[in-house]
Amino acid sequence: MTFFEKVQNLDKRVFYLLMALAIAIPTIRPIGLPVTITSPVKKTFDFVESLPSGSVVVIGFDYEPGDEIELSPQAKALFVQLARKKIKVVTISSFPVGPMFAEECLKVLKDAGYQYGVDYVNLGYYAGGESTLAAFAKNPASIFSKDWHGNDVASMPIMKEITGMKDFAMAMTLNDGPTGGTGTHEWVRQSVMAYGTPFIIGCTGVLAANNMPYLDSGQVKGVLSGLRAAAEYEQLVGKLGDATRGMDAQSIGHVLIVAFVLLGNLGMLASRRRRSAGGEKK
Amino acid sequence: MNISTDIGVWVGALFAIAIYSILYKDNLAYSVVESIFIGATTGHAIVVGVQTFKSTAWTPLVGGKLLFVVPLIFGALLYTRYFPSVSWLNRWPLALMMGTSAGVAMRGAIESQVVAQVSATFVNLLDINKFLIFLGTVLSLTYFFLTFQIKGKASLLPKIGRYFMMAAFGAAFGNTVMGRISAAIGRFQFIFVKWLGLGS
Repeated sequence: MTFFEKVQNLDKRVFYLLMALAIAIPTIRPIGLPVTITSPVKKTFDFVESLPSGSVVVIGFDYEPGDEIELSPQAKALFVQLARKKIKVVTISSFPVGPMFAEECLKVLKDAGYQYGVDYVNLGYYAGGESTLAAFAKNPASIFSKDWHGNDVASMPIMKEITGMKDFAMAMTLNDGPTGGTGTHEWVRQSVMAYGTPFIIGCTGVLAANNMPYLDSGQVKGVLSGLRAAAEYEQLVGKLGDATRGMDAQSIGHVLIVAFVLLGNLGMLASRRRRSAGGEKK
Repeated sequence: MNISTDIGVWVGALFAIAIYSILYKDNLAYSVVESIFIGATTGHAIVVGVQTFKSTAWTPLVGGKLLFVVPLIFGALLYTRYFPSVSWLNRWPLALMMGTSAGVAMRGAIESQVVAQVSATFVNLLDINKFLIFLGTVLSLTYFFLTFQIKGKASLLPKIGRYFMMAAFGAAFGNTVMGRISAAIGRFQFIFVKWLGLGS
């Protein structure tokens, strides 16, 4: 049995161990591999930069714990930029756990001196997916009478400026797919198509291929996909965080996977050659 | 090394390690933590559901908005499916929900997912990237042209279309791998940085 054939029969737990090491070592001792800025991220940054100071944006925290590492760093980096521009923020969520992630990320605004109810608000969870989002877009007060903390929404200064989706300078969803929540397609339909509100998508890496066509067609102003986009955004706003730290592990993990894919295929070719040679002898 | 003194962080880290232990072999710690996770998630969803019911339906109803009794009745009818003799009643709210959802989605679906997307493939063909998008779209469509069999030299077109689709699937798979590694990175950062205080 050749080396390549042995690799094919490798105990999968060896691979798990190597992958764990590939992620753990750069997490403990970051290398600082360079991260170049890609066009979709730059477009997103430039668009947010062009928003007028004092305007209000709505951001949907449409994800669950499994995708926190990809989407929360995107939100935190974006909030750094919004805070610098003094842009007000309204958050909603189509997942029951979404408001908790919003609360965690909104600490960036709180630390920047934002006042709750005046400069930002966490409206909380809404059930019903796209139908409820459509109702929110028409009249936010019809969906949220209380915010996530149980405060009366109607009396908040920030909500007095908002009568519908058309009043938001920008809408955005941080999204891990339509299963159980409101997906990116639904957001595009209810913000861009219905009211012409400029829209940005922040999605997991898995959803990148699904959402890039919206950027190419000009329907959305920007797309952030996965941990890498969050790392790029951290660089653009000049505040490095979890995403930048994670990119070293991401790169080394990918190298390991590519190496094993190559070894596996070489092993397969070696096995085929051996079998065909054995067949010829018979 | 600065180990966390937060009990919540300790519980989260130990639970994460217990979940990862399945990669070695099935064990009691994994089963216990899996059950706790499912139970906690279900409990949280129920609490949020009750809160949503109170804030969006019950509070307005007792506050004098009597029309809210209609969606409440329709919501209750959904549960008739557990009673065979009256289970047909759950079709009414379901029909209303399906009809409303379809109507709301149709509002922009054709424009956003068909017209705008097709328009975006007819662009300046002198740009090599845009030309490739145009070519890939047209050739991929020829792969699904099943009305009659494409023969001769023209059969090369769906074949090239298939390679374009394979490239797209490869890109999607690459992004999926990136997403899965990111999930592991998140937990590893939690364990090594937040819990054990390494590399912070």
